[in-house]
Amino acid sequence: MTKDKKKTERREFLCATGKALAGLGVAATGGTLLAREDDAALAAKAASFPTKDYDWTKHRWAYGIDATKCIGCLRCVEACKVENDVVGDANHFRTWVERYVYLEGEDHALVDSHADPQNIAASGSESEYRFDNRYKDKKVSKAFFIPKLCNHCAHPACVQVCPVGATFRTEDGVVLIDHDYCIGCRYCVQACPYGARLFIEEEGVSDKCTWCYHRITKGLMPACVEVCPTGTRVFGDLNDASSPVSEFIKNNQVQVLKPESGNAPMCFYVGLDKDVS
Amino acid sequence: MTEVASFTGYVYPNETIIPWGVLIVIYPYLTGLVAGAFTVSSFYHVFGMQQFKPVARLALLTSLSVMLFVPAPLLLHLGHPERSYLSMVTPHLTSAFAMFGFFAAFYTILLVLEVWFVFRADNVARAQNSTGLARSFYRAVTLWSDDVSPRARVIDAKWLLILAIVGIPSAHGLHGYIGFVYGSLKARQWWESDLMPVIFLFSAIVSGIALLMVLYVVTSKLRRVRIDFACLKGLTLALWGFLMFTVILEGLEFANLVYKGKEGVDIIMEYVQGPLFWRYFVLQFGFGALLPVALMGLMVALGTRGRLFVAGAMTSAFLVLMNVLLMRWNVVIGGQEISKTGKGLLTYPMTLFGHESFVSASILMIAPFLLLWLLVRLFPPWVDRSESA
Amino acid sequence: MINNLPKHIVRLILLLLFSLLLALVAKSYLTDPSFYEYGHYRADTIPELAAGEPVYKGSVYCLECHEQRKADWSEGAHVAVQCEVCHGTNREVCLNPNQEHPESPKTTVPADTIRLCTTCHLALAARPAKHPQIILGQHPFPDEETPQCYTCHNPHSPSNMEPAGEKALPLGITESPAGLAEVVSKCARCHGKQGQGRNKTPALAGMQADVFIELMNNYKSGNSESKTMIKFASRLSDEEIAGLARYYEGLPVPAPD
Repeated sequence: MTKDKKKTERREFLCATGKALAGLGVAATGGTLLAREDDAALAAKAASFPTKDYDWTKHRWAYGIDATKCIGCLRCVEACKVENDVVGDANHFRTWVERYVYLEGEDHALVDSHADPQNIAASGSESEYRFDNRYKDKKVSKAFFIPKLCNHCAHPACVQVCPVGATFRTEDGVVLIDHDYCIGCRYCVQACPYGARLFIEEEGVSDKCTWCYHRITKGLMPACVEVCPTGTRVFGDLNDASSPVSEFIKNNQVQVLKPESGNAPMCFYVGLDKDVS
Repeated sequence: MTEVASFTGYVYPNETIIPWGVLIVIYPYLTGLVAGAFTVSSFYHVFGMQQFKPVARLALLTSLSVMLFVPAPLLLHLGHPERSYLSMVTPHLTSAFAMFGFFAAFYTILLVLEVWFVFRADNVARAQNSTGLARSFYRAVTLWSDDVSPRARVIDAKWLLILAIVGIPSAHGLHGYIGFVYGSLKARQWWESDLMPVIFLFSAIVSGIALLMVLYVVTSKLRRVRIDFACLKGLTLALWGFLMFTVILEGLEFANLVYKGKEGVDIIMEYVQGPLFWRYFVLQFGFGALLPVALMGLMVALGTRGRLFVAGAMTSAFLVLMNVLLMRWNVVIGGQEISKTGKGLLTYPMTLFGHESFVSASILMIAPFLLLWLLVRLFPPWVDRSESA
Repeated sequence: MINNLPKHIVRLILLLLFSLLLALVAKSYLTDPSFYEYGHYRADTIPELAAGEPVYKGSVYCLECHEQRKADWSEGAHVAVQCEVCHGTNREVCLNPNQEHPESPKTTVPADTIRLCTTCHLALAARPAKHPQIILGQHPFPDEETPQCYTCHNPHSPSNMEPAGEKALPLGITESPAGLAEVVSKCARCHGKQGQGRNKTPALAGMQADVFIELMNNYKSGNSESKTMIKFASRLSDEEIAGLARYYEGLPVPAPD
């Protein structure tokens, strides 16, 4: 009997200690978590923008493309690769240009990009960009170029699907990737309807156009806009009615790519065609 | 390094490197086996269908041994596997992927608990009857308790029932979220379908049943024990029924896509009638689904028994396992071989060796069964030898 | 009630609770301190992303030193083309350790101007019709083995050679030395500074004046296969041709090699 009593007493003691420990633990964790939130709230009040000399609450960036002006010189593609140190082969592009050619009598366009093996052969290497002249002996009824890049959507599917919070949309409307947080699952690459996202195998992270965030926060234009010789690419602040993109949207009837995606892209096009996808 | 996919027509420049390869085909196959094996065990442990008693404990061990390998293809695939814990530390609740960590952890713990309860009495007996290292092992496994009193057994049974019941949505959530990932992806028409999670789940169930059929027959042969005909017939009937429903669902999904004929259906039709024809219509649907349905239906109609029945059941089971693997391949790889432009098709270049390759995928397919062999040695599930649950 | 539970159940529950506790503590410890500050991401990444040093400097930067280009470039059609597009961006510190300078394979004068210029100006079906573009086989390059676009075009203001442009024709209208020198400098691009000729381009130095005038009149009437010379000759007035003839007649005949 005594043995059982001792056992019972021991059990009671163990139970009580266990409960106490559990309770303390929960309290401690809860306390730390709550305390963290307070710190975060204070920090948020103190800094309304995370970068020096640039207030991201004051800007709302957008991009415009007048495809009727594009000559397919591909200096934008080259500039982007140079400016952002993008992988120098034909499978990793933050921006690219597509060529649409309607031959006479055809209802649908033949489409190619500079990443096409034939065009790569014409340029001589994967890190030089040119379109070849494959239609020079053909009868062409209509043809044009369409530049493409990340649309920095207002409701981005890529941000929605990121499991850890490595990709996000900033207060000034730019969708960015935290390369130190990305786990490389490539769900975002799948989710983008525009094919704008890529994966850098060497670094094990996803990547995409950043609208040259390191330039626009210093009052510069993205590199692709800077070098475009024909004024095809337009960038600016929607909060400023005199900015190039605001003027562009005001003076033209603009469209977006794949509006049915529900992503609300922030790249506005003039000169899209029925076959552009 | 990753191989570049060749293509026809026009594809976006970034599409020439296929993001999700063979490892991502293996992953839902494995979680499907986990969910399916658990479902088989729940036929007995939840629904009390006595004919499944011979396989119920084996099914649990199968589910566990495959489950422990489930994170492997994911970790191998990730660019930064060492950061994978972040999906549980800062889970982005809008992302279906973020659910994986929680589903997987919850289900693994639940399964470990259920296995623990199912085998507890046996392990207590084993602890008492062995010496040395074995004794220490079983003592630890039983948490140093040798209480097998009627009261304890009643509590065991109660916990077991609760765990088994909660386990069903848990296992199905673990596999179903993957179907949801594909079904909710609006960027690819081949994937985007409300039926996708359901198809994945039913396909998982048939893969689990088929696997247990194979394991049961193989282990019985190896142990030179008579096959319990009622059990095998029960499994076959279950496979037959669930497979018919799965075929209907998969057929419906494809029919819907073609019937609606939305923008992009042209390239899908080109794909399905071209590169995909053999793997989809002939192998997956024909040999992998319709043939086993016919075979099993014939056996049921004719009242086949004995060695012929075993042969027919085994054939059907293998065909179904092939069907489910093909279904995962045709969905995952197939979806990425159709360009988002709607104007081009790519060809996935699977390498023989490497990080994400035929060899690494094969290793991951075989490894769970090596673990199962070990678990079966440590915790024999054979009903004819013990008395427990 | 808890006291009546079998000990293994109690131990199991304790084990589970302890694991849960461990998980919660781990989550708290492993969460980056700047996470959740602005949203579901690491707030510290924003300044990191904004911090990069721009590579393309823009033409304003180049023109600080290259004043002599400013006049040509700012007035011409190529004002829309940034210097770094053709000349490359700064990659390494080059001439002046305190200042970066373009040092790229494109360098100061690109080696193959035809390849460079046709990047934009090759006639492609998809290029807008009003964009100036050439068909290589039909463009009047001078008859040289390695023709360069700059032989005729000022790359910083290419419309200097356009027939219809204000800046182009006539090449010089007076007979004054200054006016003639300007015309001569244009001939010299192919025929050499001393009129000595180059590769397939014949020498003019020492040529008899009436022969010169007759040849030029032939070109002027389109009576030749050399499209280049037809173009040049048709822009010159009779007085200019006469002046050139006298000039070249007076130059020393080049010594044979």
